[in-house]
Amino acid sequence: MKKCIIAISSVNHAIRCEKLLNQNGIYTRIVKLQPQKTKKGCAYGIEVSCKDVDTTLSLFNLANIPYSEILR
Amino acid sequence: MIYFDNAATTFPKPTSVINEMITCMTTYCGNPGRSGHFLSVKAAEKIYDCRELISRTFGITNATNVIFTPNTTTSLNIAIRAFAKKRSHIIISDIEHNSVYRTVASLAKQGIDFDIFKVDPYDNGNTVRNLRSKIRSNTSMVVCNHVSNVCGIVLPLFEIGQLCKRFGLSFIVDGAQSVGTHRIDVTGFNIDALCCPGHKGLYGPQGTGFIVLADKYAKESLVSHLSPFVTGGNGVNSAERKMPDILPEKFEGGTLNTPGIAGLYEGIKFVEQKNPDSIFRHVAGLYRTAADMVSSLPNTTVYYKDLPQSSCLLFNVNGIDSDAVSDRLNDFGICVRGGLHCSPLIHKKLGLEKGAVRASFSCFNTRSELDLFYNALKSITFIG
Repeated sequence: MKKCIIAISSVNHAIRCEKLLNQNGIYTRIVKLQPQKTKKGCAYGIEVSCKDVDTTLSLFNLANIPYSEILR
Repeated sequence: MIYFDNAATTFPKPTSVINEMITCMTTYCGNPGRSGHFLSVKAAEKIYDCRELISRTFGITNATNVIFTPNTTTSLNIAIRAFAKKRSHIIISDIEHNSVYRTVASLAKQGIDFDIFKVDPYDNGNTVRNLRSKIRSNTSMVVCNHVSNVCGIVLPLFEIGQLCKRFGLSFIVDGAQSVGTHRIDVTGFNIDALCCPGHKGLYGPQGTGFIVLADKYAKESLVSHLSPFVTGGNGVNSAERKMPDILPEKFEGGTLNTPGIAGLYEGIKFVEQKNPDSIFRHVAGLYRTAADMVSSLPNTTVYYKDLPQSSCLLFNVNGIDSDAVSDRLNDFGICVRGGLHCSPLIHKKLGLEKGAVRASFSCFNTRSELDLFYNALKSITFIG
């Protein structure tokens, strides 16, 4: 299954995302992103199945969770 | 040994606090928010759990609005300096600890002036009116404690919060002596920043403290106006020179105290299980008994004895310096604190330039300890 990563600036917000997604039945994993993968340097990411990206982003928007990029 | 210095730091700590700190240091004490390995993430998750617990306890919904610090003084420095506006005016009360008094006074270099309002321990209406009379056109902030660290004065946070709301003032509260025994609703009391210790009424370890920021500061646009007191690495946007405008990292430069926060998490759960109202009833009951005991002795003065919400005893043995009384009680194995308690304003208010003796209680203290304290003090008052 293809995985996508949604870049989240901080580990705290990544944990918040992980909890939110788990509550909604979406399996996730927190990963550390290499600095060159994002524009501003160190960041974390939430790894989800690419088929769940749209649902994930809708949940983030509803919960006002900021994310920077989607790495496919 | 009898420990009556719980306003300085509670002792002993619950076993669950100690056990969790050991578990943390032996099984998951990675550096939170710095790496992607499981120890780092596990440490960050434990810290986030503590943020969630604190946010629920103090009436906000955004766990990321909880900022960890080493102690209340650091919390107050961060909050006051973040909210201070150039050439503005700040109001503090006349019972503040030096963590507020010195911090506000140090802002004079930035052209920030301050005034002190008089607290009426017996009339909250007077207290609020006294505060109101100090508000100027350039007043931007009110900073005050909830409960005095010296005696049993409790400030009317709700009413002060309403006044701040009416005049558009930031409201910063020093919760050093009230967390764990008094309910504080950051949202309901219109508090912008609540500054707290972890090692006092929440029974966590020393080296822990935190700030609870109102939910509205979850918006980047509002956080961008607040300046960080400590800058440095926090694992976020490391390629940039500027601290990121996101919470909590904007105010958390440097590695956090993971074992301490893990212990604090257990301390807060301990308080919740015991119930803060029950803990308050217990310490207030000890206070009333102690106040009656001390005032029954000759040559003693108990200050603010009749305040209904007191839980902290302040007294002097006439003719003996407070530190000398503390030393003599120490000879009996009883720990209390003499002197000014880092709070010169309230000692001035009471006319106690030489200070007084403070006995402060926790949920672990007992009535039988008070009997031993009474007998020791009795011998001091008779022998001199």
